[in-house]
Amino acid sequence: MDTEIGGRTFDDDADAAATSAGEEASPRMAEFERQVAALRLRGQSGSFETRLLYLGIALLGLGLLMVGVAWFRASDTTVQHEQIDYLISGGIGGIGVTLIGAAIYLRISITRYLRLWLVRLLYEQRAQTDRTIDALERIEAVLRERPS
Amino acid sequence: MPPDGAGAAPVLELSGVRAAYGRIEVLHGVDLAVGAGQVFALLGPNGAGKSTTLKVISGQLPITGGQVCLTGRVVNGAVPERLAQAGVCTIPEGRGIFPSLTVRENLQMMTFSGRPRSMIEEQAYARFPRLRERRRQVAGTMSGGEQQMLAMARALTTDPALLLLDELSMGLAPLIVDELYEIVGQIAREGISILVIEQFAATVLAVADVAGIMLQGRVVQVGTPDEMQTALSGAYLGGGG
Ligand SMILES: Nc1ncnc2c1ncn2[C@@H]1O[C@H](COP(=O)(O)OP(=O)(O)OP(=O)(O)O)[C@@H](O)[C@H]1O
Ligand SMILES: [Mg+2]
Repeated sequence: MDTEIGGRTFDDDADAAATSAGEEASPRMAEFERQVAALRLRGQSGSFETRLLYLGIALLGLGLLMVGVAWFRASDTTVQHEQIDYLISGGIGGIGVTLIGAAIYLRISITRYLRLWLVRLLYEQRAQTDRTIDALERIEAVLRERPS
Repeated sequence: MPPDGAGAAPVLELSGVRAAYGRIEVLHGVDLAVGAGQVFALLGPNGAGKSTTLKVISGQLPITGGQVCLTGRVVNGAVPERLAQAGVCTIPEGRGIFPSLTVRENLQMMTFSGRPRSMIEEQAYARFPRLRERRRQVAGTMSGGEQQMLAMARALTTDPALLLLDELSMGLAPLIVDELYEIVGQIAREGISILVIEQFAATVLAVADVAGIMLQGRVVQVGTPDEMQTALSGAYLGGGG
C-alpha cells in the first residue's frame, strides 16, 4: 500500500496512462469499494455517545427509585432483619446504581463540553493568528513605502 | 478524457439529496455524479449550498431526503470518521491546517495514520517542492497559496480515493490558483476522484472533466466545461437554469 502511494507520487505519467486505458479499476478504487462496503451506517437511534448518555440518566433514575422503594418497604415492617435486607439491596444497591449512572452521565457531558471548548479555542486562535498576520502585513507595507 | 469506466458505478453519486440546518432546508434535491478519476467542478454563487453539499458528502450533516452513494452503495448516515478512514477526504473552505505549527509539524501530525514521518514528509515535498524550503516556517505566516498547498499535502497523506475541495482559489492570486489547479489535474490523473467547488469559473474549468451549476440548493445544469462556461454568465444574471 505504502510503496504504491510513493510510486504514484513520483510516477504520474505511467499511472495516468494506466487509468485512462483501464476499465480495470485501480487497486485504490477496489480498496475504496471494499471499505465503503464495510461501512457501518448509523441507525435512527443516534450515536453511541447519545445512547450512553441516556443510559446514564436511566441508571440515575433507577437507582433513586430503588432507594425510594427500599425506604417504603423498610418503614412498612418492624422486623429488623427485613429492614436490613431492604437497606442493603435497596439502599446501598440503589446508591451504587445511582453513582454509576451519574458517572456515565458526567463522563459524556464533560467530554461533549470539552470538545466544544477545544474547537472554540482552535477557532479563536486561528482568528487571532489571522489578525496578527494582517497587522504585520500592514506594518510591512508601510515600511516598504517609506524610502530608506 | 474522463476515464469513467462504462457501466461502472460512479465513485460518488447524489440523487435528490435534501438537507437542512434546523428547520431551514438548504438543499432541495441535489443530483450529481463523479466518476473514477474525474474532476467535477461545482460552480455557484454565495449561499447556493455548495459547502453544505460537501458537508453532506463527508457525513458532517445528516440528510433529510434522497441518497448519497459511494461506488454504488448507499451510505446515508455514515459517520464522518469512518468515511474519512475509507478515503473520503475534505479540504474545507479556508484552510484545514494548524497555523501556529510549522509546516513540518503540520505534516508530522499525519503520522497518526501509521505511516512513518520521513515518508510523509518526502511524499509532500516531492509534490510541493516549495514546502520543503518552508518546512521550518510557522504555517500561519506563509502565503495563502502555500497554506493551501500544505492543506493539500496533508490531505494526500491520507491516501484519499475521493477528494473534496472547497473554494481552493479563495483569496489567492490568479497565478497561484493556476498552479494549484495544475496540481489538482495531476492528482486526478493518478486516479483520485475530485469534487471541486468554486464560486467563479476561473481556472477550474481548465482541469475539470464535468461541470455543474448550483443555484439555490439545486444543481440546475451539468455539462462539459465548455458548455458550462457559456451557460454561466446567463445563470448568474438570473436568465439560465
Ligand atoms: N451552520 C449553518 N447554520 C444555518 N444556516 C447555514 C449554516 N451554514 C450555511 N447556512 C446557510 O445555508 C445556505 C447555503 O450555505 P453554503 O455554505 O452551503 O453556501 P455556499 O454555496 O458554500 O456559499 P459560499 O460560496 O458563500 O461559500 C446559506 O443560505 C447559509 O446561510
Ligand atoms: Mg461555501
